[in-house]
Amino acid sequence: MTIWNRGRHWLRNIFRLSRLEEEMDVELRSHIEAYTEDLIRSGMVPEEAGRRARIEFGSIEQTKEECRHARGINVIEAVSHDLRYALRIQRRSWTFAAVAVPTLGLGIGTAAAIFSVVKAVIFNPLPFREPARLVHVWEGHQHYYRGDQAFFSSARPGTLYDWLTQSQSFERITAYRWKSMLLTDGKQGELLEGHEVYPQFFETLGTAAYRGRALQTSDYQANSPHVVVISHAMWTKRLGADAGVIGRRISLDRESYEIVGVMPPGFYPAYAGPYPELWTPHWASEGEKEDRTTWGLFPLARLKAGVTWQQAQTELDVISERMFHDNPNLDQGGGVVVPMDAQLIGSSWKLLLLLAVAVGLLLLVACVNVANLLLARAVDREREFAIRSALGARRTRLILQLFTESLVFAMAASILGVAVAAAGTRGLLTMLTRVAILPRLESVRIDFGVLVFAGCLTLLLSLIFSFVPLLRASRKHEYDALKSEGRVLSATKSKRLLGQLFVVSEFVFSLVLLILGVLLTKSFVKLQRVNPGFDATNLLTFRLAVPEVNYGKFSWGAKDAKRQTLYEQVERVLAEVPGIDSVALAARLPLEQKFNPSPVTVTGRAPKPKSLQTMDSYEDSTGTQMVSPQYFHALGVSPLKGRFFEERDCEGAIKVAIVNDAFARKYFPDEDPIGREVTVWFAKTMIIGVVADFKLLSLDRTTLPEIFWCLRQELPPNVWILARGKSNAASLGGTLRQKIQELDPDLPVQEMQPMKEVISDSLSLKRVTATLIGLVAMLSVLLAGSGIYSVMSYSVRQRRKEMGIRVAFGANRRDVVNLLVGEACRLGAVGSALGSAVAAAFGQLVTHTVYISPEQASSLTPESLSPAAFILCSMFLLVLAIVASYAPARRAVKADPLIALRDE
Amino acid sequence: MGDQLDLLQGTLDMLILKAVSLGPLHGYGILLRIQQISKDRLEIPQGSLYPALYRLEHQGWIISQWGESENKRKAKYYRLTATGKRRFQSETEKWNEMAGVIAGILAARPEEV
Repeated sequence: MTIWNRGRHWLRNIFRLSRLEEEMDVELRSHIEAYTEDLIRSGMVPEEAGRRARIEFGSIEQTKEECRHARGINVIEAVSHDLRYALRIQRRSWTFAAVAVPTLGLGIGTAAAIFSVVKAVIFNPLPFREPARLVHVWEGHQHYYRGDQAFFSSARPGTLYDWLTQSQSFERITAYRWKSMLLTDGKQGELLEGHEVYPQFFETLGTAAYRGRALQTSDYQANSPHVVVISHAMWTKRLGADAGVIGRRISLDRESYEIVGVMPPGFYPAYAGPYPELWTPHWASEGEKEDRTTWGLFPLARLKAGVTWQQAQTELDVISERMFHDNPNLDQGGGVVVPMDAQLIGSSWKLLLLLAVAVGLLLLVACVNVANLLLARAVDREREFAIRSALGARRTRLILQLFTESLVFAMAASILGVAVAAAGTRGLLTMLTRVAILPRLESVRIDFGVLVFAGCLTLLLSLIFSFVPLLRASRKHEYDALKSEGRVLSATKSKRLLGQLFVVSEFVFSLVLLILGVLLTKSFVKLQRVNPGFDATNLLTFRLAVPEVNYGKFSWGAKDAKRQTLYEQVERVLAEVPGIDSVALAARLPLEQKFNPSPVTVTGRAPKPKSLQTMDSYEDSTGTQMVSPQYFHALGVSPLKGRFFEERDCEGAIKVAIVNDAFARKYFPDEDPIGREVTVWFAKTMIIGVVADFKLLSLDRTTLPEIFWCLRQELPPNVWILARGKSNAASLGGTLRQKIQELDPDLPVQEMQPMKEVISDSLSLKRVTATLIGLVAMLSVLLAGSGIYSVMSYSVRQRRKEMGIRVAFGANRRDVVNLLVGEACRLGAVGSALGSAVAAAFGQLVTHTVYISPEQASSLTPESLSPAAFILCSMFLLVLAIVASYAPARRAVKADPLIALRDE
Repeated sequence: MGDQLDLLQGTLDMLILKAVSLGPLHGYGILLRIQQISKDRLEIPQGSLYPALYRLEHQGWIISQWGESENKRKAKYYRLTATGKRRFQSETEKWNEMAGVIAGILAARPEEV
């Protein structure tokens, strides 16, 4: 027969399986019947003849099995058999399926969702060529960068050119500057955030344009035609993904720009802030190389091959040292090199790590649970396998069957897992996007690698534990297994030990999660009650983004009459609105900012030796705020000493400052700070007042030293407005917005919200963390509960006979219940003790090394690891153990001891 | 069964091929035919007949067809295919050759060696 014919034969057979089975049956039966008839004809009694014929024929089932094998289609047929059998078995023990499949599905799904986010945010390569060689360079002392402590400032063009001409470590250095541009396309103007970039920007990053081209050298020449590269988001959202976008012209800052390129999605070269939508070339101007006053440059550099960022750092230190030596009057701060990936990912990995560990624990609990169930079922089926083996089933055949069953089980769990992962990823993204602390969230997809891994884990697990009965039912033990069921009173110690181990480990994992969840929730609740130190009622806040096209290019410390007038007008116009009590302007809102430290020197006091200065960047630093005279009044913060800002503290007058109590305590512990002169941000200012401490950075940190400058003397590029209403300020939002529009229709009002919401938003990271960990902990407790329940019911079922005998010999039913519940309690106690120890160690780790950082202040402090939480959680799990074991124990004693003894 | 089965298998296949080469037969008929030819000196284990039939059919040497037996019972008749016929001839030649060689060996006297 040709291969083709054979294949056809084989295929035909597959489709005629049931008919073939039937035919085989008919054929064998007619053989036996014919033989019987012959025997009768030869004179045998009919009954005797039938018996004789069957005996001589031998086992019909075994013959059939051999025939199937001979026919050569055994595998397919067997699998289809096994599939049916597996489904039937699952149906029969539906409780097993009902517990195991959702358990694993949930575990797989949650793990896949969290790990998908972790992978996209942390592990996926950045969308640049050789991202490991990319660094951010900041101005500041190198000791400002420690791990993820972001202590640095933007750079000035002069410094950038110094680095450019003197350093050898970099292949390329470039920079960008944030620039918002007014898009006027017929409709009302819209302010877009973008970057004005220095030459070599795209070459340094090494990312090719998605459409068209990136900027090229000729674009950076002064008076070359206006060109712009746009982001993928801008292309799809604002320009409708127009295929002919290249060459199209848009009006930016009232000038016509030609779109020459679209960047790929996820191209985010900044370290923080909104997604830039535009990249325009910077035209170098005369004297720029000497410009040491215009801050706001963000330099990026590509290291030469083989040069580490530490080597580059050392070189920059040498350069700044030399420049400082050559020209002591130069306020050269030095450079700080930060690897790009550390910069982009920042400290977000801490939250993710915590989540990943938590969800890993959950997956462990789920796996243990299922292993538990599988093992229990496997031991149950030992007898079945022994019988089948004795009846002549081949070993390969049994393995195939186990494999099929495991596959059915793993498939069901994986399908559920995919569904959970899809929903979970979406939910997680919504939650995290609102918090806006993680970069690259837009690139998060359900990671099928993770799903497949989890699915394989399931399969492996179910395989390992399904094979237990087969290993035990090896031919040598067949006989033992067959007879043991009848004799052994209760399961042997070794069989039960594994189950007990599972229960204990579930306790440990769940307790760790539960304690973590309780601690996080507790500290979150505590935080909500923290007094911010200012009055947030009836306080409405919003941001004014000032377009450079109308108000000129901004530079710190420069005279800026246009902005000066604008801010004064805004303050006056808004204060006149009926129902408004007071209006204040500030560069940053309380609880909406990061610590932006500057070194402090007190005039007339010897500076500390340099070696001491570098000890701790907090030690000699202060934050800086720029506020209008009404600021403290609007916030309801009271003065402790001296005076507030007044009308006479205007531009041109002597530069004055107010400091908070923390500043006064730190720098003037035994002196009166009023009238003293300090240098902050290289500017000398005189202290005229001290105010009480209030929370500016976050609710859960002690207040750091802050110095307040008068907004009239130090203008910020954009301002926040704080408007206190006489009653409900939120209702005045529309009127305030309208007043701004009347003043300047092109002035965008952004992020309008009551101060109370600002406060609650500042806690959103902690809220999300507490919620997610709490959720995971709850799931895990649920799983642990069902795990204990299933182990106990199984153990009770195995010991039914023992219980029967106990009752028959006069044991009180209550004693039996106590015996069983007591066993669960013992396991629970061991688990709780171990779990508490692990949680304490884990908690120390979390609070000390992982979760605390100056930027994202910790909501888990060492003090919050209170024993109360540990005891409470342990008690809770113990109660769970009692509840979960009570029902099976009751069932055991309710059964008639006689039936229990006769059973099996 | 072990080694004995393997030995039997080879010969059983040939016996089956011989039986059906004389005309279509059902399973029980094959058994009777072999016993009849061997004058009841050969006992075929009934259980091992059918796996052998299925294997031969799978190999394409015999082919089966449903029909009616002598006593009006539904029965499956096997007959030789063209491939089976060729196979049977070559197997027979091989067997005879082998039998001759072995017989020669067994008949050898010490002085002939």
